[in-house]
Amino acid sequence: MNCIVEAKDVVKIYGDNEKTQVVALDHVSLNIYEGDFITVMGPSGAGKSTFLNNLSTIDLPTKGSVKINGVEVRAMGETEIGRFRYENLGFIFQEFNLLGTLTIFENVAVPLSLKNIAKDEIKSRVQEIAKKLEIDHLLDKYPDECSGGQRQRVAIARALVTNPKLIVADEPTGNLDSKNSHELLAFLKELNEKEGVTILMVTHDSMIASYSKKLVYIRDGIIDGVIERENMTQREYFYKIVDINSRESQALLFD
Amino acid sequence: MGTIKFAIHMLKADFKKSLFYCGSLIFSTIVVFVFFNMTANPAYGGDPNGRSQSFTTVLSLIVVIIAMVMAFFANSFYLSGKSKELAIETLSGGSVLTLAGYILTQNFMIMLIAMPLGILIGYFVTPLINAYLYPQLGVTDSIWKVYSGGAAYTIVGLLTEMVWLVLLNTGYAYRTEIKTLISAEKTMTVKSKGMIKLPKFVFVLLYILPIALFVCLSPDAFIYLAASCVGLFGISGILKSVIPSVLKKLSRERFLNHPHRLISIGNLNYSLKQSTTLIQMIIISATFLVCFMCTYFNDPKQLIIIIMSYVVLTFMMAVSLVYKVIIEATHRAISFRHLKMIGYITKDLKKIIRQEILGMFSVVILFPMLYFVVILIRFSSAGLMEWGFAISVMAFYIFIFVIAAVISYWVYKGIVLKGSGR
Repeated sequence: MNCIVEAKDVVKIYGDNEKTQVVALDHVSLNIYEGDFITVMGPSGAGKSTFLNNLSTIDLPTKGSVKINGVEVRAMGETEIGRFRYENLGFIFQEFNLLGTLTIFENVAVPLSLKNIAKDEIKSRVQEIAKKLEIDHLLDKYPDECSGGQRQRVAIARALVTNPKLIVADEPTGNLDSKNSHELLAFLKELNEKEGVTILMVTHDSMIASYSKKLVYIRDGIIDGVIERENMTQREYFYKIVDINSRESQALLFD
Repeated sequence: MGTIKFAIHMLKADFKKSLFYCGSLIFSTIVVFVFFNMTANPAYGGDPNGRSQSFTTVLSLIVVIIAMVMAFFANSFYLSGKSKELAIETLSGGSVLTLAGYILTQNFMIMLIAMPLGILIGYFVTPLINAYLYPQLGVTDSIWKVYSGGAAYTIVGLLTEMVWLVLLNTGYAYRTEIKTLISAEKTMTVKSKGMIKLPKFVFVLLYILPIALFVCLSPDAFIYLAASCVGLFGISGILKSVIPSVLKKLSRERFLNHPHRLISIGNLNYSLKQSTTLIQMIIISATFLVCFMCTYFNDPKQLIIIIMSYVVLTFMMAVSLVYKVIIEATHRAISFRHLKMIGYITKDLKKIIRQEILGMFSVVILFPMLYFVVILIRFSSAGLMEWGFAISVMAFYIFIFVIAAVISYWVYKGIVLKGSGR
């Protein structure tokens, strides 16, 4: 299978002063293959988002290497990274990250405008993805006029409209209610299974994580455990996820 | 920590946030002192006791009021920047009175610095102005004289300003909820302002109509002034209704596949909606003052006050517009970081900012300029005004706003690109 992201011995240290330095990632390695649906979990401050940022060109590791499609991220210039992002990546974040000064239609169209695509094609692609995500009635509205669930759908539409090879999602359900959260995950799962889109997601919710194919558990900047779903049912996989998440707490129980 | 101590501590810890507000208060105090003193100065046709009301007294009062409005404007931005501190106070169980006490303590501290400093600077600026203008008017009086009428008006003016600021701040504390306070620094909602519904072309016609009248009618400043009033209604409609719909159409139809204009037009549309009142004020005051200059061109005493008003107002409005841009830029910093994640690079972001600033300041410069050009040409060609003077009036306006645009661009760029990373 084609390896999209290859992270080897990634170290991320914050701070210049040796005394106050924080090691957020400590020699972490991971390969992401085409069609993967990987969830990263771990306690607060474990380094989940740092890991995600380092794997998706947003941040650079202090040491180690991250290769995307065989190309070392560190060697890429700003223009190359920019092009790489709009050609290959789709970002979904907890805060939606929509542009408040643009309508929903324009927000979804922004990544396409970078690709120098004809206006008619942009219109039809925006309409198509909007219909798929049931936001076609919102296209003339501004983000402020939409609910949290609607805004997250718009963020997904914007992330998917360019048909990216890799979707990077950092706590995508953090601002959603449970109904909207499960609808979103069902949609991402379908996208992964039917269209082969690779997904890398950070979440703190075991139920949300149970939609993925593989779980990477991070603790104190190192990978503390990996669970592959393989032939498990979602319920079995969910229990395993709950177990790894609560291991530390279980050790503290008296009886 | 008590409210007053906390207020003083936060003011000291984050004085940078208060700098613009403090500067605005100092500037408005200087304007109040200098203008009231000029209107009481017989050398400029004033009454030393401040009893008789000449045209320039009224004009000075208008300038002073606008200077105060600018201070209120700075105050409201100051408050929105302080919303998190206020939210903490409210969340900690602070009542309306506590909140008002917090805001007023900080305000009084700033006023205590700004107002005496403004009066002091005003006291030293007045002789400088007199030293420049007295020889031109053939006056030989002492340049250091401060008139009792002017001083009395200054004290009354500053007290009025203080009372209004107290009312404004207490009102803010009373009506603002925690939820609003928490999101005040990042909200993007534009409140819709009332506007008479008319077909868009009517607004354009109303804007063009005065130009036709300027050309057809013989040069008379008061008729031109009346015609400008009609035009200003048109400008208001163009800003609120025509430009937003044109920009929306442009981004949806023409620039949909243009990576920079799609964003910059959206930003420009939002910024214009946010600044409509300020832009209207800029255009109205500048147009009126140009008409007044035409009326009193042959009365040097009056003309000097009008020119002073024009210079001060243009400067104040330009500073306010720069500040407005800075506030918007602060709100947009996150959006620009998101654009980088989508694939935009620094060069693209700079282009987007450039286009937005260019659009914004083009509106401010070009709309009144069309009126200025026609009015000043008509007066100059009729021999009622010197060509050099007419060109200087226009050049000054353009120069100030071009400088403001350049400053806005640099500051905007600095804010949104700072820490934007890769």
